[in-house]
Amino acid sequence: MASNIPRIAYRFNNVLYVALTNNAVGRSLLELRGPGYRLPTESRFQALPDDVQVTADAVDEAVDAANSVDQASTPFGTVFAGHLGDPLLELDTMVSARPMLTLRVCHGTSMLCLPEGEQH
Amino acid sequence: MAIGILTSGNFDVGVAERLINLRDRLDIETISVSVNLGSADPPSYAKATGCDPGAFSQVCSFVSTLTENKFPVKCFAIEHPVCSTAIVLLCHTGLPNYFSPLARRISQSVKRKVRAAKKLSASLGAIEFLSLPYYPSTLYDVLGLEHGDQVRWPALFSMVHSFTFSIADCVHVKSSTEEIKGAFRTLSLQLHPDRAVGASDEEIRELKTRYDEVTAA
Repeated sequence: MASNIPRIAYRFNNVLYVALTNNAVGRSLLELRGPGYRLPTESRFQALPDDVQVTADAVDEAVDAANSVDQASTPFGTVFAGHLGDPLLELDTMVSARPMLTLRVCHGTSMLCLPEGEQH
Repeated sequence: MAIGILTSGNFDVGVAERLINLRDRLDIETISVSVNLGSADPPSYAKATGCDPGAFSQVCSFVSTLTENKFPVKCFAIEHPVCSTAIVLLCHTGLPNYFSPLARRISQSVKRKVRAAKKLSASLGAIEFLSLPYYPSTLYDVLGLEHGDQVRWPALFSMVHSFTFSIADCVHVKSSTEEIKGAFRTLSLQLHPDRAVGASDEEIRELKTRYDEVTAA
């Protein structure tokens, strides 16, 4: 269930990060930055549970939740993040989630791009 | 609204082509990929990323496929000192100023590798290169104290050069001397090997290692 997935989205430096997986090719970016590296506490970053498969709907829900926590500022952008896992390992999920992110994050944009190329 | 993808770039050209198709099909202008270039040669890449040296050419192909198709790529490398742990341990031992030249040499080597990665990134057609600092473990971690300002690698080097690297150098921001002493006492009591009655040899070894770290801090 999407609602059981904790904090797929986290934000700092006014950028919204979306984690799609914990799997990485080689060592993760968090590991590579060194044992003393910490993401800011206010980012509310959390590793995904190992057995969870993130879906596009779950991403959408998590982004909504992240934006409702901090409504004061609109993020500059959305980054499919590789702090723990590599988002390109979940390319299909990313492709399906992107249009939803575009719609929700832009707050009132009138255009929704679908992967198939349709525009509404 | 910009969309970014933060990746190791360790994927075959097919994945890069899929990204290009996606951009073209959706007509997304503001999508970019940030790739960890690691270093500028296969052996250093392997050390810096934990991947096979052969993966280096795959990352380069991935980046160049994207850039040849005018896909914006930003590359980055981490200022990863290969023997940071050793240097920190040498500092802990409080041995004489003997290791300063070694520390300086490693610092220069890190800078050289990052410069080479920057050059490679430009030749692959990346629009931007970022050098990210490496964060070695600090003595806060050892004593379980709250971090002050994180100790970055260059700061660590300056401490090494001044031969005054100890927990006292780091703690003035968040922890008082009493807090440090308190943390030390608590941990040393908890971790003292004499208290491990009935523990296995392996557990005792682990305790001893941890106890030594705390004592050094």
